[in-house]
Amino acid sequence: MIKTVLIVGLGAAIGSLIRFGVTNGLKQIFHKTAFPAATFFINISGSFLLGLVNGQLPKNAFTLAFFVAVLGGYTTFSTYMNETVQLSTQKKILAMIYYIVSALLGILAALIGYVI
Amino acid sequence: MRRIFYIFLLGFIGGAMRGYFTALAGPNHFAATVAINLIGAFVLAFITGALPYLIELSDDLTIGLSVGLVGGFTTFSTFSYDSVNLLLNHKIGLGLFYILISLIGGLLMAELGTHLGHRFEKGVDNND
Repeated sequence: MIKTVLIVGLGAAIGSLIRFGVTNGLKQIFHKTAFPAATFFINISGSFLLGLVNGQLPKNAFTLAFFVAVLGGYTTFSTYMNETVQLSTQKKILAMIYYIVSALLGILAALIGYVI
Repeated sequence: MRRIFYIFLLGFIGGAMRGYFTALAGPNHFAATVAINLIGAFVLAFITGALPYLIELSDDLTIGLSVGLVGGFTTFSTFSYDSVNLLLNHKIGLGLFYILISLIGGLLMAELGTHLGHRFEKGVDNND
């Protein structure tokens, strides 16, 4: 139990820092668009990678537990929901697209990562 | 540099909390992930909307709390992978329920937190 908590904590700490870096980088490229492209990219790529490591690495492997922890911290559900709410006050259709397409593509990306 | 330190430290705490609740839930880890994501959706709205009116926070600490603590606590990748896992294992009903409760519940919690933030904002204005 303690080992799990420490692995998930360390992985999430590293994953959060990667997300911060990627968000800053992507916001400079997509600064003109209202669409939350940074979180969108992070969540879809993180879902793909989580499917991939689960498909490739043996169960119970330490490396799998570590990658799962990093990707858990890298991706974010809370920002996804809050960006949807914020976007919906100005651009309802775009918010709806972000909300639904993120979920569908995220699940699809995890599936593709898992089966390849 | 302080910002990086806050994100790392608070990301560790957020992730450790998620790891603890998930491990505690054992076979019910799906339910734990739903609860974590819904709570996190509310808390993030509270931190960015209401908290600045309650206590003074530096930008570095606010980013540490939102990106590290809540970002490390909630997870989108596990949501996606859990959904795939349930659907591939022919638990179609449970899989669809997991997806819908996460999406609808998460949005409602973020709405609730945002409204609470607006109330704090107005409360401060009225006292001026």
